This record gives sequence, structure tokens and C-alpha cells, in this order.
Amino acid sequence: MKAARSTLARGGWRLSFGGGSLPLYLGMGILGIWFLVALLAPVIAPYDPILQDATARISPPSLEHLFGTDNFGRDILSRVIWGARVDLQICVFGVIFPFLIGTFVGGLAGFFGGWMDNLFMRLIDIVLAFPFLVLMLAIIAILGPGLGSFYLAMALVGWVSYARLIRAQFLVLKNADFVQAAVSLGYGPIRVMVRHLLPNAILGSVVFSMSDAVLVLLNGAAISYLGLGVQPPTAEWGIMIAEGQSFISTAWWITAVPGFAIVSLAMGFSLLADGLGELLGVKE
Amino acid sequence: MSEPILSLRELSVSVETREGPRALVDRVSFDLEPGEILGLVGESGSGKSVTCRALIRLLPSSSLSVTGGSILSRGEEVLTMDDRRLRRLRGGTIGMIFQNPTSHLDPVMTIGDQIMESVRFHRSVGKKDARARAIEVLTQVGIPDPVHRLTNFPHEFSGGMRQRAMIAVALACDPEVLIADEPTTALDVTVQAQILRLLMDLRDRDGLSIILITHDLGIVAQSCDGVAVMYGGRICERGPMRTILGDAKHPYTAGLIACQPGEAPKGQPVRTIPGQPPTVGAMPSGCRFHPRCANARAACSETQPAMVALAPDHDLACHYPLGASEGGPRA
Amino acid sequence: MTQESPLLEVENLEVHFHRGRSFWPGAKSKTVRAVNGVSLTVHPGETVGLVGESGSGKSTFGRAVLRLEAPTAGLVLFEGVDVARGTRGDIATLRRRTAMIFQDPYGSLNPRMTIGDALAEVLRVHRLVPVDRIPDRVGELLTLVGLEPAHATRKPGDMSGGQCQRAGIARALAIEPRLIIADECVAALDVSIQGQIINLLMELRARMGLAMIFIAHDLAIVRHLCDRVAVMYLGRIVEEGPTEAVFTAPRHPYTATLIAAIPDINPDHRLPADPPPGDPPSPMNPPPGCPFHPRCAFAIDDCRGGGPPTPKGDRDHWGACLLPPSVFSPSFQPNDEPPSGDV
Repeated sequence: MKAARSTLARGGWRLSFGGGSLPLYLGMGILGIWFLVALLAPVIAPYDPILQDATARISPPSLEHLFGTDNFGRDILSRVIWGARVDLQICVFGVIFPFLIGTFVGGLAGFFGGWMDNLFMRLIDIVLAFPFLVLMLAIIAILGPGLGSFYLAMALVGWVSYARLIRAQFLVLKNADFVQAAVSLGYGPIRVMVRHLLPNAILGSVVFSMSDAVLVLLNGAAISYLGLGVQPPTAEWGIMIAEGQSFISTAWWITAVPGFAIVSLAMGFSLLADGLGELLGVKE
Repeated sequence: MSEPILSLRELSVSVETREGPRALVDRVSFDLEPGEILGLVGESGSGKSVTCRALIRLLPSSSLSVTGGSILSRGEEVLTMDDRRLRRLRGGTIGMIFQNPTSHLDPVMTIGDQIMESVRFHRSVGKKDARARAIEVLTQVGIPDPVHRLTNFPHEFSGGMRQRAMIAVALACDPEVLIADEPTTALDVTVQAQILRLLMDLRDRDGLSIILITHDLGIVAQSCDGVAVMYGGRICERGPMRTILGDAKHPYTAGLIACQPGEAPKGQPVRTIPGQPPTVGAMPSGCRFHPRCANARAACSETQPAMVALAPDHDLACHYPLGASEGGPRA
Repeated sequence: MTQESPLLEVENLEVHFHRGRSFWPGAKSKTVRAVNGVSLTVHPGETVGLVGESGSGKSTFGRAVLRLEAPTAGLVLFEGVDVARGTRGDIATLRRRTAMIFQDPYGSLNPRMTIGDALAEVLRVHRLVPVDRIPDRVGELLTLVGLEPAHATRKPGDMSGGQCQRAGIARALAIEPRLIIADECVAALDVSIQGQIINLLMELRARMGLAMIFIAHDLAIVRHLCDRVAVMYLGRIVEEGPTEAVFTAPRHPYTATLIAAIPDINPDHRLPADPPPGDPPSPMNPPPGCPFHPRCAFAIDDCRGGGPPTPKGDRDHWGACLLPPSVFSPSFQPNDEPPSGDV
């Protein structure tokens, strides 16, 4: 028991090399590559992603167009590279807003309990009563299509998972000796929450946010696929798949390449979540 | 003296660390005589629990492994037993109880089922006989109304009764040896007195041999026949209880005795052993107690003292034993 | 008796918890009376031991004094101010003058903060020293409890249990308290380390004139450290008096039982052959009459009914038992027994 306790105490933020596992480094590697690709898109993309070339419609992969072209003659490789910018943005913003709102709400509910806890938990029940995607579609339909609406919808729906995670952690940690010690030293509730509870409670949410990023990415792609997210002709992987699906039997590369991009990015986040979870000793 | 029922010779257990293997238990030897209660005393990290788990090859983590020595149970080598024999040994010959009965009893099985499972696994008997044995063993450990209690789940027992129930499960197949790992540490003093009384009764009445792991010298004084004191994975002194408590020769043993708050006059500082117990990663050289020892001299940090018999049943590993005449290191 | 006005006066403190709320409306939830009418006075510089087994309510009592639990009823007067019903400001004042030391040396320190940060936080929040003096003061505090100033950069996970407990004491001392509540503060430590912490507490007490409530189940340590002892059983104090008097001539059979049950290091002082039966009962449904009667070897019919017995003896040393102490406490000579009566 003593040993278990001290490992818990030792599991701090240690992202130095040598502490992690293969999944962690693999995940960090994949994500690192995609972030670089997104950053350097203007430099490394061989063509303009929305430039149509009527002479080279639906041409298979070749030296000229490494991953071929689509039905408008746009270079798939360039579109995937530029699409990384949009899709990474979707992952980041689609996770950050729910994370912040959920942490705030869950923290208040877990720390103060009582009517505040009841209020927020009932609110969560209401949100959870609707199927996730249906609720999102309804919100986007009201707000009108576009990425802004998507982020707002994600924030309104996605915070519940984070709120529940943080609340559960707070409920446990609230009775931990070091939190009681902080209260007994006369610290105010905000200090106790921010300085003592939060740093110890947040790890689970950080790990969860990595796997949540996968979900957000797929949602973003799905929403775009349905025509409610990113609008054409912007390069985005979900739209590319949507546009390519009528040619799937004749021109597989139009859908396969962005599909592979989505899968690899999702895998990167997944591996990072696993590796981080292992490194920080967080059980999901 | 009859043949020991359990005999450890130079048992070593290592843990795999990032810096390579480190010895948790270093060449530990002792004998358990039939009908003896042997106290294994030490602080956290002394290796006392690991030693006893190694006895039935139940090391808590896969990074731990026995690296040498031998364990003889009635003359049979435990370390080379096949799985079938080992299963017979565990529970059948050697029973084990732990500090925390709550986590060592299955919460979703009734106490009766847990006892009967063990009985039926070790002896091919029918359900009826197993039930009779369960009632018998619950009576043996002093649980009132055993017929009714058979159908209770562990959470329906109080703390002391739960410890009794765990002893009952361990005794179900009538083992010859009981290993008790800090069995009373989590209990209140009045309940502790009951459990110690029970262990002594089991020895007196049923001839059970017991290894009692504890950090409390009071418990040793009240219930043990022999004592082995462990420090830093080694035994530093062993002998009969009255010899060890009354005439300790190892500075560590004497220090532990002097540490008892009752030993100092009221209001005066308690005698202490300075420093901290060593950790696996940083074991001192030579005698592992030397950094905390008031008697330490040069030889203590250089060579490991060998285990020497002071009397036929009193062994000591110390270069400069207490009460010995001043001079060079003992040969 | 001390002439000084008491530092802490607790009168008839009750702390109840509600357990097992029923699904059916109207069904009664169970009430756990963890602390059930406890009165205790602590004078400046005095160390009071609070002993008892699990479920006796001794830890809840300590936490309720600091308002870590909300009292159900009763008075908690700290320096004359009732904090049981005090304003937020009163509680803040109380917590600036009273510190707690916890049992689990690792668990009571924030695992993500260095020791230095934890100490500096106390100093900063309560503005105890000017900001530029904080690092020096942290070093002083660490030295005071026998650590090195260099330990300030360590986290709890990198220290031993004894060192963490010292850090916990340094944090308690940082607020310059008048009263320290130590809840089983050596129970989780190795025997050879326990003595170091006890000596440290004794030294600090002498040097700083601290008052202390020492909550423990280890009677030997309590006997060594405390001026007075209160023995708790099932949420009530059953005996209170000067330490030596309580240990040599207990006025309650429970105290006598408790003392007899300590395994003595002298093998000739045998444990009783028939220790008291049963476990301490649950505070969920305490027995009527004297709460100890189901386990008491001396219980008579009067013990089994009515309310709990009223305190008997004198103001300084009393026990809540119907029987004369000479019945269960052989060292009690009937002739020097003061006339028993209600206190």
C-alpha cells in the first residue's frame, strides 16, 4: 500500500524522454508530422488546393500528381496537405472549448455539491438524453452551417464528458488529506480548487481529451460530409471523401487518400492518449 | 529438537529495477520448529513480507524473483516444486493471512463458500463434508453461531470477525504452518488482543506453527517463542524471544527496544535511531545498519558481518556486538 | 487548575452524519452519531490526549474543532469566540491559529507541489512575512523540524515517510499556531521514526508554548507525551483526567480494558488471558445505557438501560461509570477514593 501511494505521488508531469512507452512516442511522432505538414502547407504543397485543372480530371496517381486528382482536376496531395490545417484546427478547438467548460462546471459541481451539483447533473442528464449527433445537427441547423457553428455545437454538447470526469475526481480528492490540510490552513475555496484539487484532478481529462480529439475529428468530417461544416471548395478531408464517394468504384484514390489521413491522425491521438495514460498512471 | 517444519537457507530475492537487479532479501536463513511461533521483526523495506511470500512462491510482482537459496518444507524443496505440488503446498501445508482481511476475502462469495472451496479443492470431499469442515473451522477460530455465519458475506462481519474469517479460510485444510503478515496492524488494540490470543490457542491446542510478521515488539514479547530481526533485507539477529528482548547484542535490535515510548521517563525525549531505514535503490555497503549505528567503525562500512552463533540458538551478524570487550573486529 | 483562561472550550459537541438515504420518500435515513455530546477544555501550552478505538469519534472531533466537519450541535469556543456557529471570518481566524497534522505523511501533502511551495503558500496567503523574506522563512521552518533547507525543492514522492511528516509539521508551524491538532500523526511511521517525531513535537511544544490535542490509539505514546487524557468510546468521553492518574487508576472499565490490551514489551506482563469479547460497536446504533456495557465484564443491570451514566469522581479526574472504580481498577484503594458524586 505504501508503495502504491508513493508511485501515485511520484507520477508528476514528466514528459522527458526515457519515461514513456512506444505508443507515446509513436503518437507524438504521428501528430508531430501532421502539425509540421499543416504548418508548412504553403511550402510543401505542389499545387494550389483549389486550382481546377480541366485537362487532368480524375487522373490516377502519377509522378505529376502523386496521389492523383479529383473530378475537378485538383491535386489530391495538395488538398490533403492543406486539409491538415483545417482538420487539426477542428481537433484543437473542438476539444478545447468542451474541456474548459466541462472542467469549470464539473469542478464547481464536485467542490460545492448541494444544489449546484444537483443543477449541473440534471443539466448533464438532459444533454445526454439526446443522441450526440442528432443534438449537434439540430444546433448546427439552427445556427446555420459553418465551422463556427460546429465549434459552438461541440462546446454545447461535448462538455458533459469533461464535467463528469472532473466532478468524479473532485468528489474523491475533496476528502484527500492534502485537500483537508489546505482547508484547515484557512485557504479560500478558489485557492483550494485551483491550486490543490485541479492539478491532481486534471490528468484524467487530459488523457481523455486525446481520445476525444479522435471523436471530434470524425464528427467534423461527418458534419462536413453532410454539408453542414466546412464549405466547398475549402480543402477538408471530410468534404474530400464526400465529393469522391460517387467515383469510389472508378477512382479510389479520391476517397482513400483523405480517408487514410483521417485514420492516421486519429491513430496518432489514440496512441498519445494510451501513452500519456500509461505514463501518468491514469486509468480510463 | 525435532526436525524443523520449514527451513530457509540463504534465500535471496531480487527486484528488477532500471539500474539492474537489486536484492530485496539477501541470504536469509531461519528454521521454524513444529509448534513454534516465530516473530519476524523489521521496519518497512526490511524484506520481511517479501521473504514470507517467497516461502510459498507467491511474489507480489513479476519483477521480483528468487535468485538463490533453498526452502525446505518437511525436507522437500519448495523452489523446484511443480505447479501441482505447489498448489497442494499453498493452503494445504502452508496457510497465509494478511494485514487487511477486507481486500483478501472475496467480497461476492459467502464466508462458507470460501472455506468450502478451499476444502474441496485440496481434498476430494463432498459438499456435505466440506460444509461440516467449514462449521468446524469457524468454531475453531471463535466465530459464534457458525452455522448461520456460513451464509454471510465478508461485509456483514465486523473488523475482528473478518480477520477471524480469513484465518478460518487459511486453516480450512488444516495446514501445518500459518504465515501471518501483520495480522493485527489494522485492528483496534482490544481486538488485537483477541486475535493474538486466538493465534496462541491455535498453537497450544492444534499444534500449528506460525510465522508472525510484525513491527511491534510488544506483540513479539506477548506471543512469540523465537525472533528473527530483519534490517535492509538481511537477518541481523535471531534467537529465543527472551534472549533477544532481554539481552540483544545487535545495536539495531537494542535500538528498536529502546525506541519504545514506554522505555523513556515521562517528559524526556524518547530514544531514537537516527536516520531513515535504507531503501532498495540505496543499500549501504558492509553492514547495512552502519550509517545509523552509534557503534559503527571502519570495518562496518567495508565488510558485511557474517552470521555467527553466540549460543546454540542465538545468532548475530555484527562486527562489534553490544557488551563485547573493546578491540578489533570480531573474526 | 490553571489560572489562565482556556484556549479551547468545547461544550456538548455533537456531529451527526446521515447514511443510507432511502429510495422511498418518508423512510428514515440512518443517523451516525459520530460525536455525541463531547465537552473538552484545552488550556494554553497543554497537551491533551484523545484516545479510543475506531468508531469512537476521536478523529471526527478533531476535524469538527477546525470546522472540517460541520457540528450538529454544541459550542466550540476558541479564545472565547464560538466557531461552531461562527461567521466565515471567525472560522478564518480559527484556522490561522490552529493547525492540523495528519496521519498519512504522503497523503497530507499535495503531490504536485514542492515542499518549499507548500510552505511558501501558507506564508503568502496569510501574509505572515514580507514577500522577500519568504524563502528565508521556508528555510528556517525546514531547519526547525530537522530537515535541510535544500528539501524545499523536493516533492513528497521523493522523500521518506518521516521526512514528509516533518514537512507536514513545518507547514503546521508556518501559521504560528497556538493549538495543534495531531490526528494519529505517528501511526503510519516506522517504530524507529516515531520516536524522532514525538521528540520533535515535545521540543517544539516546549520552545513555542503550543497547546496540542494529540489524537491516537497508541496508549504508550499518549502516556509519554500528554498532560491530560480523554478516553472516547462511541462518540462520548467516558473518562478524563491527568495522564498518570488515568493510567494507574482508571475510573472507567473501558480505560482499564484498553490499558490491559496493550502488548507490553516485557514478556512477564502478560496480556489478559480472556480479552474483552466483541468489536467496538458501530455508532449507527449505539446500545442503550452505558455504551460499553455489552463488552464490560463488570456490567450490572443498571448499566443496560436508561441514558449513559453521568460523570463521577472529581472535576480533575472523572469517569462515566456507575460502579466504584475499585471494582475494575485494583490499584484504586477504596480509602483514598474521593466521595463519588456527579460532577
